[in-house]
Amino acid sequence: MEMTRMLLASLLCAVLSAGAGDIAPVAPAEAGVKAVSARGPDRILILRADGANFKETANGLIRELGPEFEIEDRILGSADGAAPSISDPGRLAAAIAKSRPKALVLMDNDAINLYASVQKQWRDTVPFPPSISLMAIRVDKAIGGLKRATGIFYEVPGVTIFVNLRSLVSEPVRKVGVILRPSMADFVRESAKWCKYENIELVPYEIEEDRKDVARAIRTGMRRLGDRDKVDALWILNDNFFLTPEIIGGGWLPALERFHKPVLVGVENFVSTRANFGTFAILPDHYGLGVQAAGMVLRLKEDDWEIDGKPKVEQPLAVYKVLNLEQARKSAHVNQAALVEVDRVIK
Amino acid sequence: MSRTRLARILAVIIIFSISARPCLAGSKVFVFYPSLARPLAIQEALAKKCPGLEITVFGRLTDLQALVLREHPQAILAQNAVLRQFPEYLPRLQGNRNGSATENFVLLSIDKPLEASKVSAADIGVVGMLDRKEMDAFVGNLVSGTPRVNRVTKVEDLLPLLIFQSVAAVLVSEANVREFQKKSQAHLVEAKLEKGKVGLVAAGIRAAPAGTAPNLSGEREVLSALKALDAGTLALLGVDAWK
Repeated sequence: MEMTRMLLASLLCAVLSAGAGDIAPVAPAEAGVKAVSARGPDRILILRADGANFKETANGLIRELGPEFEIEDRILGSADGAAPSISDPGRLAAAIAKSRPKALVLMDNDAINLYASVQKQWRDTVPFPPSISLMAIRVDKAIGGLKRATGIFYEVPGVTIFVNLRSLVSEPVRKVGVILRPSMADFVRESAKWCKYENIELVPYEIEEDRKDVARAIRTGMRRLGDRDKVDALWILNDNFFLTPEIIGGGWLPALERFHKPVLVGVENFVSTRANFGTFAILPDHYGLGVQAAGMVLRLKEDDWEIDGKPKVEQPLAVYKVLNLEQARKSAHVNQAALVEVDRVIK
Repeated sequence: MSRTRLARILAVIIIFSISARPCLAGSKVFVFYPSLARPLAIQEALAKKCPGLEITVFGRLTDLQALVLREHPQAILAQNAVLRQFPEYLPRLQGNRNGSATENFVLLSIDKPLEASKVSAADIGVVGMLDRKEMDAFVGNLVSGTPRVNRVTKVEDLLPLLIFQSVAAVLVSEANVREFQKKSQAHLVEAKLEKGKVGLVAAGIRAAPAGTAPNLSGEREVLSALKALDAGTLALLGVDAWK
């Protein structure tokens, strides 16, 4: 086992530290003509989960980068033709050694964790390619253990959601309430910082993680946000802790019966006419996410594939908007002309 | 009625239905105009006003490029800079707004305008309406410099790019600046560009391939339908008249 690891480390060290990715095949010398080395396309290794959204993101990335880049798109745990399945750190290390990518694009927490394991096992022995991580829960925390890492948040920031809501309704959107648990407080604080640019105040209501009756706590929180803080809208975070069927049925739905303001969610199903839950859903636009990641790859190339300092995580830019029109009309005056800016209007 | 006569009538109906099929299907028109309106909304509006045409509105350049190669539409509606990427499509109708065939693009930033001397060292956000190299050249011409270009897929993505301070400025039309100012309460300021004029949407008609006769009826069909568009539908294409 140790021997295998040593061999793999030597192989990785040899190909990565020598910058072997830069060496392109040399054209055969012809009579009187010196052989010239030509720089081949830069290789990028995508490591991702399976599924339509991941594929769409990969499409955006691949199309935006174009033929100047050679992309190896690998799905975690799936064999790709002759290439073996990437399912453990050893296989990922071998895939990196073989494909010699300039950078890795890691999609979802499993892919990030796998690359973190590779870096941990061969720490201080090989310079690993830089990575761009996306489509992961709290990507800022997920890449904390990676060297030369950057990424894009998957969570759509509040300010993007609120600015879109503001152009859809006639009522002012100045204060938005949000219920959270302490582990999401830094994310909400970051959102509040951006909201200041748009003169929007984010009003948080925290519920402790060890709280027994979460549904009841939500009802209490909603009363406070609605009656005392008089928020203009409610932002429901994509946090599974608050989105179990029991908590939705016993907490959110009864509380929302008294809350006649727009409810902003991050799941398309929550704005369906049957759900009677959210008013406006804003989700990441996966193709756009891929294009944004491609931009990061291009900048990385301009910087000679170097990432200095602390990991910098970008906010996602492109979003997909779904509006439940009937629900919206119950809570606000909808600006009819702005409906052309919504991807899907549920009537 | 004899069986022979009935058969003849049926044959005539079949022949006419076959020859009428291209007309029923309508000439294909592809549209690519990045704006705040969603492609589907523009497509529905255009299809309603031009029931004789088969209209597809694209939100991404790569999709347009792929389908033009495969389906050879009768016409493409796009800004002049985009239309020039398809040399077999010759501009036949030029969109105008307020009597002009061009609109001004500006550099929009937050709090203070981006100085011309700092453009080449800056990151600039743009909608990727052309391929990367062509887009870099297009931006370079407009801003008279060589900034680092950050591409997005939709016009609306430029506003978060500014708010999150990912770029020093975004390159947008003055019409979009007005829209952004309606949406955002951030202190948006614009820097005018000396060479900031960009051609508005034009309709390019497919030239007949060498050795083939031009599809004049298809061309007439497209041009007359476009000329009949009302002000509201034209506004979705960023124009108010055709010249």
